Amino acid sequence: MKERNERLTRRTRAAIASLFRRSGEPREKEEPQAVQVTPEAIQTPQPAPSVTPESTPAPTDIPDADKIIELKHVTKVFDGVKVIDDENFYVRRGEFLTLLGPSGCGKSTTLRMIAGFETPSSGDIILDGRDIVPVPPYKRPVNTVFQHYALFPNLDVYGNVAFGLKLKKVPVALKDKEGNPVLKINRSKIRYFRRQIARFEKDPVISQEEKERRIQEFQDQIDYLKTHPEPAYRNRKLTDEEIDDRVMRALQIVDLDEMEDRSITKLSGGQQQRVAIARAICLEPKILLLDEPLGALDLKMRKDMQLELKEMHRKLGITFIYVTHDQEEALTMSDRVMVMSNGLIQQIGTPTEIYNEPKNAFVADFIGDSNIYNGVMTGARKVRFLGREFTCVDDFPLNQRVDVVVRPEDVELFDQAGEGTFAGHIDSCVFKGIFFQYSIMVGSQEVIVKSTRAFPEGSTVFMRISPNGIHIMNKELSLNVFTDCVIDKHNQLTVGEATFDIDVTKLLPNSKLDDDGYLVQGEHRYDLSGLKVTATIRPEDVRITDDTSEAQVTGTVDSSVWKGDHYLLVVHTSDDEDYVVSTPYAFTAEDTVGLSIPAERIVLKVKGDLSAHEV
Amino acid sequence: MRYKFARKAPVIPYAVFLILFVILPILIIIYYAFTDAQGYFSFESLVEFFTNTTKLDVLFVSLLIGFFNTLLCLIIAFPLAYVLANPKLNNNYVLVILFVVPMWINFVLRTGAMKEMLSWIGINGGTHPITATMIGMVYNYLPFTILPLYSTMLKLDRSQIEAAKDLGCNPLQTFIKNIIPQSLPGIVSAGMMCFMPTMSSYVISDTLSDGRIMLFGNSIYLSFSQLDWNGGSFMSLVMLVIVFLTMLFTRRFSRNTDPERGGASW
Repeated sequence: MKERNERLTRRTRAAIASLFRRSGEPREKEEPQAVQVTPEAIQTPQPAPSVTPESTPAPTDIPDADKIIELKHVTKVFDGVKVIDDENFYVRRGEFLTLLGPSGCGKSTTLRMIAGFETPSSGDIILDGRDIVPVPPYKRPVNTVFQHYALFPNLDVYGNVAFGLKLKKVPVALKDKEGNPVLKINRSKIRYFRRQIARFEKDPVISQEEKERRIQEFQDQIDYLKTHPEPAYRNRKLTDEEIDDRVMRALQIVDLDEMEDRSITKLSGGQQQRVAIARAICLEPKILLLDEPLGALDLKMRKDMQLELKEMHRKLGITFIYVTHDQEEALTMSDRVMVMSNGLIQQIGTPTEIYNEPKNAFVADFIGDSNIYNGVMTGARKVRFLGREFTCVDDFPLNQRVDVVVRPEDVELFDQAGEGTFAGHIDSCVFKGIFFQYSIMVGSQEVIVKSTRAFPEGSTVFMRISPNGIHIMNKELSLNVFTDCVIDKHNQLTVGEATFDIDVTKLLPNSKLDDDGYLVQGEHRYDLSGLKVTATIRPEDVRITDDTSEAQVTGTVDSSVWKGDHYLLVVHTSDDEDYVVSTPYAFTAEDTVGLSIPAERIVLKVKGDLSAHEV
Repeated sequence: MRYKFARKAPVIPYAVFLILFVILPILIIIYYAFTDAQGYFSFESLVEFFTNTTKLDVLFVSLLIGFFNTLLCLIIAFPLAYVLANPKLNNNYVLVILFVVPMWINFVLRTGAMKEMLSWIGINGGTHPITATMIGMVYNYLPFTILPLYSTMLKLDRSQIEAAKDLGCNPLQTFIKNIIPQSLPGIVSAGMMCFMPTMSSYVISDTLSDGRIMLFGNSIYLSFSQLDWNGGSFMSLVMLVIVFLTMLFTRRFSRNTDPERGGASW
């Protein structure tokens, strides 16, 4: 297999080299005005800018010329629901950016807006200095590799790859007999600005003044264009030889040469994938969009394709925007990773930054395995969690409640008390090939540890976490997310010591409870007792009262922040949980309060594998 | 042994039906087509058919009307089915039903009503026989054309359409280069649903053109009503061969596309 890969890479390199060599010279002579359509990224290949892991510049840090695409205040509303909320990011020229997040986080919508299949409700998408929001997909210099390839089954391999090339038109400057450029009113530009105006008139997000100001700007542009003719172009189709040449080179790059007359339906999944990639790259797009392209392949094939795609990206110099929910894939392939959840960008950074310095508990939880604890700052670079104090490298204000993230591989295990600072009891041990994965109980809290040292199950070990292995992050105050909830045998939800009478049928679509208390979905029956779930409660859904007798949970008010029209309280309960509560009434710190939460407002998500609970 | 019998048992009613109502009649037709009035084997009907110019003319006119009727129906039904099946433009199944409702009314009754309505606007069998027949044909066979197209359109692969746009197709090109190829199985079966019955129908042309337009169906009917069983049978056989050839021809289209996406079973 390794030998095959090397051979393949060598061929791929040769093919890509020829793509650059041949696409450059002859076309430049006959199409001096081809700048608009022919991506210069290909004609002058630049290696992907090396991104230094220690710094992520903020969006404003790099000059506009280095950004191939920038999304500014992009918001997308579907049926009154904001699926993308004020999204701002940019992609560097030649970069490999991965959009990573769970399903429904808005990553695919973002990609589809760049491709042009969705129109943002508000905001601009600037591609090479030009807002492409009103430009229809077939005029955008970007191409997509679809999740299920979306090949045309009525065409063979050649026909599929040539599909776009046969439609492609290259502009040729119109010259009169003396060789001077012909001037005409640029109607397509006027149409573009008219569409911009139409778009802004419907924009539901921006303010009225902003709206009028921008519409006026476009109107001025139209008025100017109407009186100022510009050099005109005529469009020319590619010749059959040009098409043939580019198809063959693209097929060589994806290692499918000599397959051009195969029928699409006779190809394997991996081969179809390659055709889909060839079909997109032969058009030499400025940006190649990949929407979970490896999702339908088996594991082995996926690993090979990951490396090949990365190699292709390096050689082609095209900017790649890649969408995936597979964090390992994202870390392996990308120059930078953008983690999304609930339509918001959680963090943008290099794979090392995302892994080592997650900005919040969501990122930490989503990327790799991690232990997340509630902690309190007890001094300068001192944090208290797992019932004891640790030295850390991050500085936060004294007494601030924080999330503490410890990666399983950052916990060292010892059998002697001297080297380890705290003891734990090994609950389970799983051999994973190159390491053991331990679940170690420290009191009632679990620590997941990956270690190459072998310890027997049931024994007591001593652990040490170095300051560099402790990542401290601000606690999210926007939502109550309880990651350690369990469904008990009465199908009730247990959060800390409180139980809630929830509707478990919401966990699975079209499911119902049977007489024995099992959850039934189609032919599957699940025994939910002991099922770990994540419960999310919005602060405004928590009812807070002075009367502790009727409440489900009691606790003391930890902090209270006035947010303009409501107070945001943090209530620390007797069972060590923190609830974020939004209320119009004033409570002061140390007040004892009761909380009650309508069970139907609790959003549940199954953690781990539900099939283990199948009866 | 008992088990084997049990598995075969449900086939028996269908087999009996097939033999009694399909195979036997065809055999009878073949028998009459190749015998003379006395019951002896002869090619009399064959020679008679291919030398009689009126019968060949009727066949030619029928093929022509069948072809144009199919074409017109497809042209009208295709965009209609596309709109009906597009969730963005229509998510109401009632509209689809409305186009099919005329099929619930007796066919002869419908045609009779059509004749009256056409004569109100001055199109009657005496003055415009071809126009009247064509209008009647299109009206009657349109629902049969819409349904297979509609069911194919429901299954259109949206990501293929997006891919076509992504690769540079404007809306018209997307339609020609992707939507039409994708719905080809539906077009083929809709065409068959329209062409084959048009060929053999005789009520519509008879009623609407006041008997001025003679279709192949009329011709067969006439033969049998004049007790020329041998000639009528031979013409029925020709009809069968034409239908068989059309099916052979159209199968080539539906076979090399994904069977799951086909509407061919309509």
